[in-house]
Amino acid sequence: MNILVCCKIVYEEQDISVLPDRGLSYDRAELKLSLYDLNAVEQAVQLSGNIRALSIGGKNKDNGKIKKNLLSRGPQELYIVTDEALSGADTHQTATVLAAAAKKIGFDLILCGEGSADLYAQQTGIQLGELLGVPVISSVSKLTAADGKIIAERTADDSVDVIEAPLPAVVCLTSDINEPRIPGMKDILAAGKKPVTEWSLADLGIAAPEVTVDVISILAPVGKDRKRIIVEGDDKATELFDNIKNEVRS
Amino acid sequence: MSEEKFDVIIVGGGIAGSVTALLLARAGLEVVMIERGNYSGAKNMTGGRLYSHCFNGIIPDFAEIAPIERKVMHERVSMMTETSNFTFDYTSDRLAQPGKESYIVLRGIFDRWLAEQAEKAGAMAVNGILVENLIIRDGKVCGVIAGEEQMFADTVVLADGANSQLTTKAGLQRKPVTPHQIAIGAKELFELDEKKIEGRFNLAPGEGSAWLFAGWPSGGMTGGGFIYTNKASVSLGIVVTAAEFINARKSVNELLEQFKAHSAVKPLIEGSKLIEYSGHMVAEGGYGMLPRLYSDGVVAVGDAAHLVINAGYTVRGMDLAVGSAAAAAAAIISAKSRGDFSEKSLSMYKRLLDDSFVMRDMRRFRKYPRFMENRRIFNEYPEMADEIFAGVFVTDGAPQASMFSKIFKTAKKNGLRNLAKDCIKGVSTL
Amino acid sequence: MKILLFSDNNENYGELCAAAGTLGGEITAFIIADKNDAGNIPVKKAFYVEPDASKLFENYYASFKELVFNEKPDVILISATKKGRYMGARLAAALKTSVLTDLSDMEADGNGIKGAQMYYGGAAVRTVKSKGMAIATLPQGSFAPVYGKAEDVVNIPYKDDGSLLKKVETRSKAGRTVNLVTAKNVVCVGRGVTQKEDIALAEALAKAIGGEVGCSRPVAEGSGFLDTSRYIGVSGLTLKPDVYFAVGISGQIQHIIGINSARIIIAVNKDKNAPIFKVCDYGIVGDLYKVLPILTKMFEGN
Repeated sequence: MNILVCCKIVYEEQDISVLPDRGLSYDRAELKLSLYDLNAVEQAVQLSGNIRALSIGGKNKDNGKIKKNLLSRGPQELYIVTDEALSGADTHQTATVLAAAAKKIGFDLILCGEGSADLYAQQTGIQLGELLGVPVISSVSKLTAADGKIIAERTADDSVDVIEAPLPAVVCLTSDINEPRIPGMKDILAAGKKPVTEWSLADLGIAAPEVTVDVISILAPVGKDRKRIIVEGDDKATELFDNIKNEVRS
Repeated sequence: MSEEKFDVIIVGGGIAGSVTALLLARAGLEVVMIERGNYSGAKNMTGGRLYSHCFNGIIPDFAEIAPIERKVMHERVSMMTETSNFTFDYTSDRLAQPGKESYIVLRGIFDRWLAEQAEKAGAMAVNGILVENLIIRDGKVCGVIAGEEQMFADTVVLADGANSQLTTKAGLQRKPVTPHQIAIGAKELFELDEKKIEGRFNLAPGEGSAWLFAGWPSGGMTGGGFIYTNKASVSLGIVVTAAEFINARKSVNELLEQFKAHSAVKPLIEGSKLIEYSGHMVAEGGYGMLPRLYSDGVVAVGDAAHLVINAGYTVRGMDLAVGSAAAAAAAIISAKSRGDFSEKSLSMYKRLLDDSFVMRDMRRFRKYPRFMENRRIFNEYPEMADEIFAGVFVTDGAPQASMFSKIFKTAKKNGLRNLAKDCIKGVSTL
Repeated sequence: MKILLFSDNNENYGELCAAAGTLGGEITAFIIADKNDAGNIPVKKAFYVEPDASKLFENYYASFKELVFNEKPDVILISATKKGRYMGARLAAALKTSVLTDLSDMEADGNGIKGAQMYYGGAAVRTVKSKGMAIATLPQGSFAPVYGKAEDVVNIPYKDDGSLLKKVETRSKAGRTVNLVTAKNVVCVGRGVTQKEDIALAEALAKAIGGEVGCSRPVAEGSGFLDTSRYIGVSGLTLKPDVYFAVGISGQIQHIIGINSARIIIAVNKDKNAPIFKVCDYGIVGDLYKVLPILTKMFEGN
């Protein structure tokens, strides 16, 4: 089974700093694999097959250590599409490029994480399925594959449906579906030898997709002035209670 | 089971590990460097300053390409009491002679770059993996164990730092390290505008200041305070010998706070933003406390080999790490040509070390640890300095004694015999 | 402005209608329900598809898509639930646009809409505007629902989506799903809570103040202490609790959702230098294992 895993490279949120004008600065921010995509990589390994990883992004996301990290977790090869136009791409732009790349690489099953660590829109994987015209299921908390079919447990807010679908298909996984493994020495060493294919949008034969969302601003929220009435010591618990008892209305 | 065998496995991706890897890779050996941090430098810390002579012959254009913060052009040493500070400040063109300069570095940036040089030369790097044990067969080290995995090599280089557990497992560290041989360092990093740093520390663009403080910063215990200027931040911290610290009445945090609050220090970091806090162990035993440095199939380099000199006015670990790495690499390359990785064959490492600045300087400074245990350096002498200079500079209209008699009076109060003894000892140590 | 509403939960239409009301214009809805239920939503026209137990929720997409292409609304508002997001995403792909997910502070902008989204789990707020046909998912709890009857109900035949997704079986979910978004008081636990048993301390306090327990991701991830519906942080939940207890949370990561929007923040942490103490109204530097039981007892007695 040819499995394609989509991974997003994002900034380490703890490194993001706030500028005086409340804008965000990524200057000191390290890049990392979006946590939720690690579940997708792990699931691919558990299902077993010919696993390829795919990532798209702006040129700033081109990072040797990240590529090695991704390859040390199970995929046999990695495809990267980088282009200036993809910096800060919206979900539709991303899905469009992923679809073009997926068609070029070929797949039986595409696995995605639930959402990405930055916006957590939980949209891209589903859009990808729709654009490719194949069955797409999201919020999948259990997944097995056999004989050209998948059986997925889709966990919605109030119920669980067990769904059967033929391959090819796109599946978006929940973050509690599995525990991503920690790569060992040998995995990390082997990662350096695996093939990485780099494509531009021209290689995919597509033009930069249109922007579909107008981002007006990205600002840190205005901090509310807080009272900061703080007591010290376990023995002051009653004092705390006295402070808050009128504030808490059950 | 397929046993993937390397020529050399290096445990630790810090300065010693990376330079060893770099030199071995250049000689065509199959080498892998295993670092427990997510990247080289993640687990390292320095004040601190690197004496660049050690890279002569290893990285020829070091000054141009290395990601250093500033070139040290001001050497400052202070004696500090709670309410006073006496500093001398030396600056000279001589500090900037090519091949003899020293640079202030930040390990997170510097070590990462150095490891990349090793990888460019052909070494493999594995990050985020802790080597827990060595594989020893018939008394010979032949590999490492991390988690469930084993990896084999003809030689293992222990570059895993001041707190190395592996040197004990390899039979190199025979006696447990005592608290007297270890110091604890704690440092805070303050973000500050480049121009402000240059203004406050009296520096031309690109220049840096290395500054060591004795007395108050370590609360009178053996140790000291330090301030180093980075490009756009200031490193400030303290080092205290572990043995004394055990009985200390103040915590590391309290010592740091009072150091920062001192009137001579506070204005330097005014308006800055604390962006990082780190701590590290320093192996300070000196020449008399070195472990064995090699055995069958294994050598120890850098901090793991306790190759550190703390002479108060100068603290050196990074250049010794590089020097030891060069000696180790040469010895291993030679051993490989003979196909002999026994203790006898690897003894070349020690011989090369002895002939290099590493052991020469370790020997030269060997009396320092003892000397530095003299509490008077951290208590009485800074106070004496305060007394003397107050006597000299404070003018109150009362009848003035001669400068000599003022100084003599203060010195006598502190005990002339002790003073004489310490001077002689200090000079002979130097 | 033509607005089309959709929710996978028939109880949510009241809120969606209220939201649509703020935009102004003609409001219609797509609902998977029988004629009676369809008639109970205060819209101009309710387009309904009869529910079929043998069908998956996903199977209704084609009917929805056809309606959208026929009606050509300017704005589509969908409840931000898992199923809602799924519909929104597929529709967006078909319409070559993106969904404005988990939108708050929504307002009309010409024939489209504008609003705010949480970015990096709350570290920043993104203000966005729709381009072309606007599709937005709206988190619950932002609008007081309106009630009424539909002026007109129209039956839409079920359209086979040809997606080949087949229902094998349905199960109800184990454990109680909680909707933290509507919780008035929240007791949120962080890494300071080390054992599963200790969650009981937080639960006791939550019960005493009539609130719910939530947790930061590190606590719930992998340790399975709490159900995923209780994760706070990075999940886009627009939490606006009245009172928010931060228990054993350092506050170092500014993406504690709702920390800015909570009316009152109370912090319990044993580290007096924890950043949470800079953003709280009341706090105690103490051991949560000692403090929580005392607080619980006092609230119970109150």
